[in-house]
Amino acid sequence: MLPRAITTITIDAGRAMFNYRFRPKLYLGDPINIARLYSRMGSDEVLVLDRSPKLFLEDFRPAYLGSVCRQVSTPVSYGGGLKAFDDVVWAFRAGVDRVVFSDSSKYALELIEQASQVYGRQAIVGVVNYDDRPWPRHPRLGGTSESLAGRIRDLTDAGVGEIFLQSVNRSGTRRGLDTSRVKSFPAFSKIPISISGGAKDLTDFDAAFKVGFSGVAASSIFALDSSGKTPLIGYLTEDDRRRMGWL
Amino acid sequence: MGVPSRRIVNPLDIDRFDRIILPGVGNFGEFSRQLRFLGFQEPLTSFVRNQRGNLLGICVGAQILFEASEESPSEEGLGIISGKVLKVPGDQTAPVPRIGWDRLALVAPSPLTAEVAENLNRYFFAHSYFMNPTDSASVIAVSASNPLVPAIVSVAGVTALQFHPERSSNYGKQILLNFAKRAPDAT
Repeated sequence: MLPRAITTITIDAGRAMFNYRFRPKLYLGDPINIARLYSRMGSDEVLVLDRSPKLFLEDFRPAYLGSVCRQVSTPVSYGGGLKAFDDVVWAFRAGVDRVVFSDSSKYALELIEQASQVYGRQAIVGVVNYDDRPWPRHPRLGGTSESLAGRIRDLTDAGVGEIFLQSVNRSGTRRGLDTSRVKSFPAFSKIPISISGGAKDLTDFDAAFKVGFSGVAASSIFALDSSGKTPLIGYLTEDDRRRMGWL
Repeated sequence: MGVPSRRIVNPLDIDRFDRIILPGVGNFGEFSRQLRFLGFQEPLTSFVRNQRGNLLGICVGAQILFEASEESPSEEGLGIISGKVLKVPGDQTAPVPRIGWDRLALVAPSPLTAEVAENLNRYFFAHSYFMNPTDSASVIAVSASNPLVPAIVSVAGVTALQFHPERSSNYGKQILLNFAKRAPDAT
Protein backbone atom coordinates (compact mmCIF):
# COMPACT_ATOMS: atom_id res chain seq x y z
CA MET A 1 0.00 0.00 0.00
CA LEU A 2 1.13 3.55 -0.62
CA PRO A 3 2.07 5.63 2.42
CA ARG A 4 -0.68 7.94 3.65
CA ALA A 5 -0.35 11.60 4.57
CA ILE A 6 -3.44 12.18 6.70
CA THR A 7 -4.92 15.60 7.38
CA THR A 8 -6.32 16.08 10.86
CA ILE A 9 -9.17 18.47 11.64
CA THR A 10 -9.78 19.05 15.33
CA ILE A 11 -13.23 20.40 16.11
CA ASP A 12 -14.39 22.20 19.22
CA ALA A 13 -18.09 23.04 19.46
CA GLY A 14 -18.47 23.06 15.70
CA ARG A 15 -15.35 25.12 14.98
CA ALA A 16 -12.13 23.80 13.49
CA MET A 17 -9.31 24.66 15.89
CA PHE A 18 -5.55 24.31 15.81
CA ASN A 19 -4.55 22.53 19.01
CA TYR A 20 -1.22 22.82 20.72
CA ARG A 21 -0.52 19.88 23.02
CA PHE A 22 -4.21 19.03 23.00
CA ARG A 23 -5.33 22.53 23.93
CA PRO A 24 -7.20 24.79 21.48
CA LYS A 25 -4.92 27.59 20.40
CA LEU A 26 -6.13 29.12 17.13
CA TYR A 27 -9.41 29.25 15.25
CA LEU A 28 -8.97 27.80 11.77
CA GLY A 29 -12.41 28.08 10.27
CA ASP A 30 -15.43 26.08 9.29
CA PRO A 31 -14.69 22.33 9.43
CA ILE A 32 -16.85 21.58 6.39
CA ASN A 33 -14.95 24.06 4.22
CA ILE A 34 -11.59 22.85 5.50
CA ALA A 35 -12.52 19.23 4.84
CA ARG A 36 -13.67 20.15 1.33
CA LEU A 37 -10.37 21.94 0.66
CA TYR A 38 -8.34 18.98 1.86
CA SER A 39 -10.41 16.67 -0.30
CA ARG A 40 -9.93 18.83 -3.38
CA MET A 41 -6.20 18.96 -2.71
CA GLY A 42 -6.14 15.17 -2.72
CA SER A 43 -5.70 14.39 0.97
CA ASP A 44 -5.20 10.66 1.49
CA GLU A 45 -7.59 10.68 4.41
CA VAL A 46 -9.37 13.26 6.53
CA LEU A 47 -9.23 12.51 10.24
CA VAL A 48 -11.89 14.44 12.17
CA LEU A 49 -11.31 14.53 15.90
CA ASP A 50 -14.20 16.13 17.71
CA ARG A 51 -13.21 17.50 21.07
CA SER A 52 -16.46 19.38 21.60
CA PRO A 53 -17.83 19.42 25.13
CA LYS A 54 -19.72 16.30 26.16
CA LEU A 55 -23.08 18.05 26.27
CA PHE A 56 -22.59 19.48 22.80
CA LEU A 57 -21.88 16.04 21.37
CA GLU A 58 -24.64 14.28 23.23
CA ASP A 59 -27.40 16.81 22.73
CA PHE A 60 -26.56 18.03 19.24
CA ARG A 61 -25.14 15.10 17.33
CA PRO A 62 -23.10 17.32 15.12
CA ALA A 63 -24.92 17.95 11.87
CA TYR A 64 -21.66 19.04 10.25
CA LEU A 65 -20.38 15.47 10.19
CA GLY A 66 -22.83 14.47 7.46
CA SER A 67 -21.88 17.58 5.48
CA VAL A 68 -18.19 16.81 5.86
CA CYS A 69 -18.76 13.28 4.55
CA ARG A 70 -20.79 14.48 1.59
CA GLN A 71 -18.21 17.12 0.65
CA VAL A 72 -15.21 14.84 0.86
CA SER A 73 -14.29 12.30 -1.81
CA THR A 74 -11.47 10.74 0.19
CA PRO A 75 -11.81 8.56 3.30
CA VAL A 76 -13.18 10.18 6.46
CA SER A 77 -12.36 8.87 9.92
CA TYR A 78 -14.21 10.29 12.90
CA GLY A 79 -13.55 10.23 16.60
CA GLY A 80 -15.21 12.05 19.46
CA GLY A 81 -17.92 11.24 21.96
CA LEU A 82 -18.39 7.67 20.79
CA LYS A 83 -19.53 6.26 24.10
CA ALA A 84 -22.24 3.84 23.06
CA PHE A 85 -23.03 1.63 20.11
CA ASP A 86 -25.77 4.02 19.00
CA ASP A 87 -23.10 6.71 18.59
CA VAL A 88 -21.16 4.39 16.31
CA VAL A 89 -24.24 3.60 14.23
CA TRP A 90 -24.96 7.31 13.97
CA ALA A 91 -21.41 8.06 12.76
CA PHE A 92 -21.53 5.42 10.01
CA ARG A 93 -24.97 6.60 8.93
CA ALA A 94 -23.56 10.11 8.67
CA GLY A 95 -21.15 8.65 6.11
CA VAL A 96 -17.84 8.14 7.89
CA ASP A 97 -15.64 5.32 6.67
CA ARG A 98 -13.96 4.59 9.97
CA VAL A 99 -14.65 5.40 13.59
CA VAL A 100 -11.86 6.34 15.97
CA PHE A 101 -11.75 5.44 19.65
CA SER A 102 -9.46 7.24 22.02
CA ASP A 103 -7.70 5.15 24.61
CA SER A 104 -8.85 7.63 27.24
CA SER A 105 -12.35 6.20 26.96
CA LYS A 106 -12.94 3.64 29.65
CA TYR A 107 -15.69 2.14 27.54
CA ALA A 108 -13.45 1.64 24.54
CA LEU A 109 -12.63 -2.04 24.65
CA GLU A 110 -16.19 -3.38 24.92
CA LEU A 111 -17.48 -0.90 22.40
CA ILE A 112 -14.65 -1.67 19.98
CA GLU A 113 -15.49 -5.36 20.18
CA GLN A 114 -19.15 -4.70 19.44
CA ALA A 115 -18.47 -2.23 16.63
CA SER A 116 -15.86 -4.49 15.05
CA GLN A 117 -18.29 -7.43 14.91
CA VAL A 118 -20.83 -5.36 13.01
CA TYR A 119 -18.71 -3.05 10.86
CA GLY A 120 -15.54 -5.08 10.50
CA ARG A 121 -12.08 -4.51 11.88
CA GLN A 122 -11.03 -2.35 8.94
CA ALA A 123 -13.56 0.29 10.01
CA ILE A 124 -12.25 0.68 13.56
CA VAL A 125 -9.26 2.80 14.60
CA GLY A 126 -7.79 2.99 18.08
CA VAL A 127 -5.81 6.03 19.20
CA VAL A 128 -3.09 5.50 21.78
CA ASN A 129 -1.70 8.66 23.32
CA TYR A 130 1.84 8.53 24.62
CA ASP A 131 4.29 10.88 26.26
CA ASP A 132 7.35 10.71 28.48
CA ARG A 133 5.43 9.56 31.53
CA PRO A 134 5.49 5.92 32.60
CA TRP A 135 2.69 3.68 31.41
CA PRO A 136 -0.21 3.31 32.12
CA ARG A 137 -1.40 6.86 31.68
CA HIS A 138 -4.99 5.86 32.34
CA PRO A 139 -5.16 3.27 35.12
CA ARG A 140 -8.96 3.26 34.99
CA LEU A 141 -8.99 1.77 31.51
CA GLY A 142 -10.19 -1.74 30.86
CA GLY A 143 -7.79 -4.43 29.69
CA THR A 144 -4.64 -5.74 31.23
CA SER A 145 -2.06 -3.56 29.57
CA GLU A 146 0.90 -2.54 31.63
CA SER A 147 2.81 -1.02 28.77
CA LEU A 148 2.30 0.88 25.56
CA ALA A 149 2.81 -2.34 23.60
CA GLY A 150 0.32 -4.08 25.87
CA ARG A 151 -2.25 -1.40 25.21
CA ILE A 152 -1.81 -1.85 21.47
CA ARG A 153 -2.24 -5.61 21.92
CA ASP A 154 -5.44 -5.10 23.95
CA LEU A 155 -6.92 -2.82 21.32
CA THR A 156 -5.92 -5.23 18.54
CA ASP A 157 -7.48 -8.15 20.39
CA ALA A 158 -10.65 -6.14 20.93
CA GLY A 159 -11.04 -5.65 17.17
CA VAL A 160 -9.25 -2.49 16.13
CA GLY A 161 -7.97 -2.54 12.54
CA GLU A 162 -5.44 0.26 12.84
CA ILE A 163 -3.60 2.04 15.63
CA PHE A 164 -2.89 5.76 15.62
CA LEU A 165 -0.04 6.57 17.97
CA GLN A 166 -0.28 10.17 19.10
CA SER A 167 2.49 11.98 20.93
CA VAL A 168 0.98 14.29 23.52
CA ASN A 169 4.20 16.25 24.03
CA ARG A 170 4.81 16.92 20.36
CA SER A 171 1.22 17.56 19.25
CA GLY A 172 1.06 20.90 17.44
CA THR A 173 4.72 21.73 18.06
CA ARG A 174 6.34 20.98 14.68
CA ARG A 175 9.33 19.64 16.58
CA GLY A 176 9.31 16.44 14.58
CA LEU A 177 7.56 13.13 15.11
CA ASP A 178 8.61 11.38 18.31
CA THR A 179 9.44 7.90 17.07
CA SER A 180 12.06 7.16 19.73
CA ARG A 181 9.79 5.03 21.92
CA VAL A 182 7.61 3.57 19.21
CA LYS A 183 9.64 3.00 16.05
CA SER A 184 9.87 -0.74 16.59
CA PHE A 185 6.11 -1.18 16.93
CA PRO A 186 5.18 -1.50 13.24
CA ALA A 187 7.63 -4.39 12.95
CA PHE A 188 5.76 -6.56 15.44
CA SER A 189 2.22 -5.38 14.87
CA LYS A 190 -0.26 -7.54 12.98
CA ILE A 191 -2.27 -4.46 12.00
CA PRO A 192 -1.23 -1.14 10.43
CA ILE A 193 0.13 1.55 12.73
CA SER A 194 0.12 5.25 11.98
CA ILE A 195 1.68 8.08 13.94
CA SER A 196 1.00 11.73 14.67
CA GLY A 197 2.21 14.57 16.83
CA GLY A 198 4.77 17.16 15.84
CA ALA A 199 5.36 16.38 12.16
CA LYS A 200 7.59 19.14 10.84
CA ASP A 201 8.15 18.42 7.15
CA LEU A 202 7.93 15.76 4.46
CA THR A 203 11.31 14.33 5.40
CA ASP A 204 9.86 13.65 8.81
CA PHE A 205 6.93 11.83 7.18
CA ASP A 206 9.33 9.84 5.06
CA ALA A 207 11.41 8.71 8.03
CA ALA A 208 8.24 7.37 9.68
CA PHE A 209 7.17 5.55 6.52
CA LYS A 210 10.61 3.98 6.24
CA VAL A 211 10.36 2.36 9.68
CA GLY A 212 7.00 0.90 8.73
CA PHE A 213 4.32 3.35 9.82
CA SER A 214 1.42 3.13 7.37
CA GLY A 215 0.41 6.74 7.71
CA VAL A 216 1.36 10.04 9.29
CA ALA A 217 -1.38 12.36 10.50
CA ALA A 218 -0.74 16.06 10.89
CA SER A 219 -2.56 19.30 11.42
CA SER A 220 -0.09 22.13 11.84
CA ILE A 221 1.88 21.79 8.62
CA PHE A 222 -1.30 21.42 6.57
CA ALA A 223 -3.42 24.06 8.32
CA LEU A 224 -0.96 26.87 9.12
CA ASP A 225 1.56 28.87 7.14
CA SER A 226 5.30 28.45 7.62
CA SER A 227 5.30 30.80 10.61
CA GLY A 228 2.87 28.48 12.36
CA LYS A 229 0.72 31.43 13.36
CA THR A 230 -1.69 32.02 10.49
CA PRO A 231 -4.29 29.65 9.07
CA LEU A 232 -3.40 28.56 5.54
CA ILE A 233 -4.81 25.30 4.25
CA GLY A 234 -2.41 23.32 2.09
CA TYR A 235 -1.43 19.79 1.18
CA LEU A 236 1.05 17.74 -0.80
CA THR A 237 1.24 18.09 -4.54
CA GLU A 238 1.71 15.18 -6.92
CA ASP A 239 5.24 16.49 -7.46
CA ASP A 240 5.86 16.26 -3.71
CA ARG A 241 4.75 12.64 -3.74
CA ARG A 242 6.91 11.85 -6.74
CA ARG A 243 9.92 13.60 -5.25
CA MET A 244 9.53 11.72 -1.97
CA GLY A 245 9.02 8.38 -3.74
CA TRP A 246 5.54 7.85 -2.33
CA LEU A 247 3.88 6.91 -5.62
CA MET B 1 -21.09 13.70 -10.92
CA GLY B 2 -23.99 14.98 -12.98
CA VAL B 3 -25.66 11.59 -13.05
CA PRO B 4 -29.22 11.40 -11.68
CA SER B 5 -29.39 9.00 -8.77
CA ARG B 6 -31.68 8.01 -5.94
CA ARG B 7 -31.28 6.07 -2.75
CA ILE B 8 -33.39 2.91 -2.82
CA VAL B 9 -35.22 2.35 0.45
CA ASN B 10 -37.94 0.02 -0.78
CA PRO B 11 -36.54 -3.19 -2.33
CA LEU B 12 -39.45 -3.27 -4.78
CA ASP B 13 -38.09 -0.08 -6.36
CA ILE B 14 -35.00 -1.88 -7.62
CA ASP B 15 -36.65 -2.77 -10.92
CA ARG B 16 -37.24 0.93 -11.64
CA PHE B 17 -33.52 1.42 -12.24
CA ASP B 18 -31.04 0.09 -14.77
CA ARG B 19 -27.94 0.78 -12.66
CA ILE B 20 -27.75 -0.33 -9.06
CA ILE B 21 -24.86 0.40 -6.69
CA LEU B 22 -24.61 -1.75 -3.58
CA PRO B 23 -22.15 0.04 -1.30
CA GLY B 24 -21.00 -1.28 2.04
CA VAL B 25 -18.86 -0.96 5.12
CA GLY B 26 -19.13 -3.88 7.46
CA ASN B 27 -18.95 -7.49 8.37
CA PHE B 28 -20.07 -10.03 5.74
CA GLY B 29 -22.44 -11.88 8.08
CA GLU B 30 -24.05 -8.74 9.43
CA PHE B 31 -24.43 -7.34 5.92
CA SER B 32 -26.05 -10.58 4.74
CA ARG B 33 -28.48 -10.57 7.67
CA GLN B 34 -29.40 -6.93 7.03
CA LEU B 35 -30.02 -7.54 3.32
CA ARG B 36 -32.30 -10.42 4.22
CA PHE B 37 -34.03 -8.51 7.02
CA LEU B 38 -34.68 -5.49 4.79
CA GLY B 39 -35.91 -7.68 1.95
CA PHE B 40 -33.23 -6.83 -0.62
CA GLN B 41 -31.88 -10.34 -1.21
CA GLU B 42 -34.46 -11.63 -3.71
CA PRO B 43 -34.97 -8.34 -5.62
CA LEU B 44 -31.19 -8.04 -6.15
CA THR B 45 -30.74 -11.59 -7.40
CA SER B 46 -33.80 -11.27 -9.58
CA PHE B 47 -32.47 -7.97 -11.01
CA VAL B 48 -29.37 -9.82 -12.18
CA ARG B 49 -31.13 -13.05 -13.19
CA ASN B 50 -33.60 -11.15 -15.37
CA GLN B 51 -30.83 -8.97 -16.86
CA ARG B 52 -32.60 -5.75 -15.97
CA GLY B 53 -29.38 -3.73 -15.87
CA ASN B 54 -25.98 -3.46 -14.27
CA LEU B 55 -25.12 -4.05 -10.64
CA LEU B 56 -22.02 -2.61 -8.98
CA GLY B 57 -20.96 -3.86 -5.55
CA ILE B 58 -18.48 -1.96 -3.42
CA CYS B 59 -16.30 -3.50 -0.68
CA VAL B 60 -18.55 -5.72 1.45
CA GLY B 61 -21.29 -4.88 -1.04
CA ALA B 62 -19.02 -6.60 -3.58
CA GLN B 63 -18.10 -9.51 -1.34
CA ILE B 64 -21.75 -10.28 -0.64
CA LEU B 65 -22.22 -11.02 -4.36
CA PHE B 66 -20.17 -14.21 -3.81
CA GLU B 67 -21.37 -17.49 -2.36
CA ALA B 68 -19.75 -17.37 1.06
CA SER B 69 -17.02 -15.75 3.15
CA GLU B 70 -14.49 -16.97 5.67
CA GLU B 71 -15.47 -13.93 7.71
CA SER B 72 -18.88 -15.45 8.52
CA PRO B 73 -18.94 -19.09 7.46
CA SER B 74 -22.48 -19.61 8.73
CA GLU B 75 -23.96 -16.89 6.52
CA GLU B 76 -24.60 -17.18 2.80
CA GLY B 77 -23.83 -14.57 0.19
CA LEU B 78 -26.08 -13.77 -2.75
CA GLY B 79 -24.27 -16.30 -4.94
CA ILE B 80 -24.44 -14.04 -7.98
CA ILE B 81 -20.72 -14.54 -8.63
CA SER B 82 -19.26 -18.05 -8.24
CA GLY B 83 -16.51 -18.19 -5.66
CA LYS B 84 -15.73 -17.38 -2.05
CA VAL B 85 -14.34 -14.53 -0.02
CA LEU B 86 -11.13 -15.48 1.78
CA LYS B 87 -9.01 -13.98 4.56
CA VAL B 88 -6.14 -11.82 3.28
CA PRO B 89 -2.83 -13.47 4.21
CA GLY B 90 -0.85 -10.86 6.10
CA ASP B 91 2.49 -10.38 7.77
CA GLN B 92 4.44 -7.52 9.28
CA THR B 93 5.43 -6.15 5.89
CA ALA B 94 1.84 -6.30 4.64
CA PRO B 95 -0.37 -5.94 7.70
CA VAL B 96 -4.05 -6.82 7.65
CA PRO B 97 -6.50 -5.10 7.34
CA ARG B 98 -5.21 -3.66 4.08
CA ILE B 99 -5.90 0.01 4.66
CA GLY B 100 -4.80 2.72 2.30
CA TRP B 101 -4.25 3.58 -1.32
CA ASP B 102 -3.03 1.25 -4.00
CA ARG B 103 -2.64 1.21 -7.75
CA LEU B 104 -4.34 -1.33 -9.98
CA ALA B 105 -2.78 -3.77 -12.39
CA LEU B 106 -5.27 -4.21 -15.21
CA VAL B 107 -5.43 -7.82 -16.39
CA ALA B 108 -8.38 -7.70 -18.79
CA PRO B 109 -10.09 -4.95 -20.77
CA SER B 110 -13.37 -3.57 -19.47
CA PRO B 111 -15.50 -0.49 -20.16
CA LEU B 112 -15.32 0.14 -16.43
CA THR B 113 -11.59 0.86 -16.58
CA ALA B 114 -11.73 3.17 -19.59
CA GLU B 115 -9.39 6.14 -19.09
CA VAL B 116 -7.80 4.50 -16.06
CA ALA B 117 -4.04 4.97 -16.12
CA GLU B 118 -2.46 2.00 -14.39
CA ASN B 119 0.65 3.78 -13.22
CA LEU B 120 -0.97 6.98 -12.01
CA ASN B 121 -4.41 6.21 -10.65
CA ARG B 122 -4.80 4.99 -7.11
CA TYR B 123 -7.74 3.76 -5.09
CA PHE B 124 -8.67 3.49 -1.45
CA PHE B 125 -8.85 0.00 0.03
CA ALA B 126 -9.99 -0.99 3.54
CA HIS B 127 -10.51 -4.73 3.90
CA SER B 128 -9.38 -7.91 5.64
CA TYR B 129 -10.96 -10.38 3.20
CA PHE B 130 -10.63 -10.66 -0.56
CA MET B 131 -12.79 -11.87 -3.44
CA ASN B 132 -11.72 -15.19 -4.94
CA PRO B 133 -13.88 -15.92 -8.00
CA THR B 134 -14.05 -19.47 -9.35
CA ASP B 135 -13.54 -18.17 -12.87
CA SER B 136 -10.21 -16.35 -12.90
CA ALA B 137 -11.11 -14.84 -16.27
CA SER B 138 -13.65 -12.65 -14.47
CA VAL B 139 -10.83 -10.71 -12.77
CA ILE B 140 -10.44 -7.34 -14.50
CA ALA B 141 -7.81 -5.83 -12.19
CA VAL B 142 -5.71 -6.79 -9.20
CA SER B 143 -4.13 -4.57 -6.56
CA ALA B 144 -0.56 -3.63 -7.38
CA SER B 145 0.92 -4.18 -3.90
CA ASN B 146 1.47 -7.46 -2.11
CA PRO B 147 -0.52 -9.48 -1.41
CA LEU B 148 -2.00 -9.18 -4.89
CA VAL B 149 -5.76 -9.51 -4.54
CA PRO B 150 -8.55 -9.12 -7.11
CA ALA B 151 -9.67 -5.50 -7.10
CA ILE B 152 -12.29 -5.63 -9.87
CA VAL B 153 -14.27 -8.75 -10.73
CA SER B 154 -16.84 -8.65 -13.49
CA VAL B 155 -19.33 -11.18 -14.84
CA ALA B 156 -22.29 -10.47 -17.12
CA GLY B 157 -24.01 -7.36 -15.83
CA VAL B 158 -22.33 -7.49 -12.43
CA THR B 159 -19.16 -5.80 -11.24
CA ALA B 160 -17.53 -6.15 -7.84
CA LEU B 161 -15.03 -3.55 -6.59
CA GLN B 162 -12.88 -4.31 -3.57
CA PHE B 163 -11.85 -0.68 -3.22
CA HIS B 164 -14.02 2.36 -2.51
CA PRO B 165 -14.43 4.45 -5.69
CA GLU B 166 -16.59 6.94 -3.76
CA ARG B 167 -13.57 7.65 -1.53
CA SER B 168 -10.93 7.51 -4.22
CA SER B 169 -11.06 11.11 -5.34
CA ASN B 170 -11.20 11.76 -9.09
CA TYR B 171 -9.72 8.33 -9.80
CA GLY B 172 -12.77 6.66 -8.29
CA LYS B 173 -15.12 9.15 -9.87
CA GLN B 174 -13.93 8.01 -13.30
CA ILE B 175 -14.82 4.40 -12.47
CA LEU B 176 -18.28 5.44 -11.25
CA LEU B 177 -18.83 7.54 -14.37
CA ASN B 178 -17.82 4.60 -16.53
CA PHE B 179 -20.34 2.46 -14.70
CA ALA B 180 -23.10 5.05 -15.04
CA LYS B 181 -22.57 5.82 -18.71
CA ARG B 182 -21.87 2.53 -20.40
CA ALA B 183 -24.72 0.72 -22.15
CA PRO B 184 -26.64 -1.91 -20.14
CA ASP B 185 -25.54 -4.68 -22.47
CA ALA B 186 -21.90 -3.59 -22.62
CA THR B 187 -20.76 -5.38 -19.47
